[in-house]
Amino acid sequence: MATQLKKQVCTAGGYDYTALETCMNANEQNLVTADKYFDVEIIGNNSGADPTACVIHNYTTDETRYINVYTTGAARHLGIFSTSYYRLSTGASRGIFIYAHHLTIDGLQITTTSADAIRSDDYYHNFVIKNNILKGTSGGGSGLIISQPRGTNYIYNNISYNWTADYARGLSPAGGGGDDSTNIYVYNNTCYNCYVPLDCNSSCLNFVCSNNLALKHTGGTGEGTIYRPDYAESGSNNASSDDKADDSPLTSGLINYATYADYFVDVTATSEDLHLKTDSPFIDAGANLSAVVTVDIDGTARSAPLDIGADEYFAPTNFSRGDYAALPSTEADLENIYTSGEISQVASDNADRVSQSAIAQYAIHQYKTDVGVNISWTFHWNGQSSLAPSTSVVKLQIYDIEGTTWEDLDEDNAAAANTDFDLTATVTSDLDHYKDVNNVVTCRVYQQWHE
Amino acid sequence: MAELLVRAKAHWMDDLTQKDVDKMSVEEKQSYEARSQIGDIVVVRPDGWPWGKCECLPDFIVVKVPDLAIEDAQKYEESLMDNSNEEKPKMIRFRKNALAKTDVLLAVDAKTDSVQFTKSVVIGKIAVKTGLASEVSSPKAEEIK
Repeated sequence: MATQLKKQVCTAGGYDYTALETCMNANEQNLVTADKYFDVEIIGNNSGADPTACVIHNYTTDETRYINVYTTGAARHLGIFSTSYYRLSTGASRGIFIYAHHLTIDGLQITTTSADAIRSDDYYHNFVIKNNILKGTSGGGSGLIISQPRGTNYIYNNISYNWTADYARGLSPAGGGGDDSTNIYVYNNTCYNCYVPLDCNSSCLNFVCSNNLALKHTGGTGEGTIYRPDYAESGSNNASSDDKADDSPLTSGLINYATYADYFVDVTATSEDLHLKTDSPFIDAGANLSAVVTVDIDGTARSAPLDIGADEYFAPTNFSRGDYAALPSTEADLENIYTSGEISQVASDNADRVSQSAIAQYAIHQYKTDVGVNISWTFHWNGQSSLAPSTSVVKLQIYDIEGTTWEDLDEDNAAAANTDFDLTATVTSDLDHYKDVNNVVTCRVYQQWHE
Repeated sequence: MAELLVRAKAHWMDDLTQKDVDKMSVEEKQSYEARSQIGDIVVVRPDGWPWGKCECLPDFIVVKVPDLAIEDAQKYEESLMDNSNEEKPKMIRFRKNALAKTDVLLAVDAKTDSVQFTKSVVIGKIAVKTGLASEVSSPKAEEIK
């Protein structure tokens, strides 16, 4: 049985390599002979970009001796392009140039100014490209170009946007054609604002294209949002801003959806957030692909019916409050659910607060927060009480899903009445103990009132 | 004000024989011929870069060039490409620029992870590849047993 070869990359140092390129270069080998699979883990604080293009070549691989490049913890993006997380930012050079088989690229941010983010030519096979954010410009290049692939390849949960130069593609998973043994599955990608958002121009054994968002093409009407959908062997439940999502053989398409601000959290240029907005028509509109696409780009569990695109919509953070004779033992919502206006109030660090009186012993505010795939998380609360914490302590707790118990994180027993005080805690390990299946953690702040 | 991370070890494919190479597909052979070699400048970073634990011997040496601007050094990260077919760019050599192999092997023999040169000296030691066969090692001779 193959054993693991694991190397870690962090641009800030402290790990094995400071660039993906040096990691891939130093470890080129015959993984089959070595009987190893190669995990390349991008980890830690990567607020500095990785500026060097990466060439993945001269590895010998097979189905069980493969290469897996992925981000984890603080290195992994949260579904929005951000300079706070690992990013390959290579200017005029291609981001990743692939000359290898059996390769997974998972959870990277890649941006260029005039070159392809990910490119493979020449008959390489068995790729999994998932959960990546590929951000382009008008300068040239495409998000993903896989040319003449072979084998079985999965492209899903990627966001590719702003590739607007002439002939640029958001995703082109099989340019130049596969062959009669090639299988390509293109699922749940979000392709937005590209010359051609999604290019199906390929002839393969199977080219299945489902649950993809292909919106806002900047090319001509001849190309459209989905170029040559007739080359797909099958597929359904795609959405397009023109009529391409319903071109045969694609079925059950959502067509002519072109009021983008109604679908995404933010479409402002340079600060795009392509998570689905409440009431987006793409929520629960996808085909059931849960055998392959079990989570979304944020790591949030998908549930049937799936949403279309890379994001599975999750209800806004749920805050609640109440007064109780005894502290609740579970994380169930409290009696008063915050309104959206109240959530806005507590989200801002100002004097506008949401109050909870306590007639029956305990006044409690409870906060459920989606922390994504992070393994570290900081909670900060600022408030005040008319009953001085110096008289009755105010505690911050977190709910342990595995242990089904509430754990203390911080407390204040010194502040005076009606005076600001802070409660802060960072969970740096075992955050999984506190996350539910949707990556939500629950915290509460409470104070006991005396008779 | 630049540091160059230079490949210090031979490539595993340097040990392949002509028979091994003959078995390769056209695409594999192209990648084989483009493989990195001792002396290749793999990445370029600013002075004082916090190199990783494996960005040192036996795999790499760091060449410090205090009077070389990082903006001027970044060109050394380029690959030698054949872009004559825009639809299908071809990588001829993993790196276009390489430090003289003798200097790298001197550092390896001395077990020195980093060396320092002035800009004028290092520029004199960097060769620009053009795709000549001599830029990569030949397949190993078959052994008669």
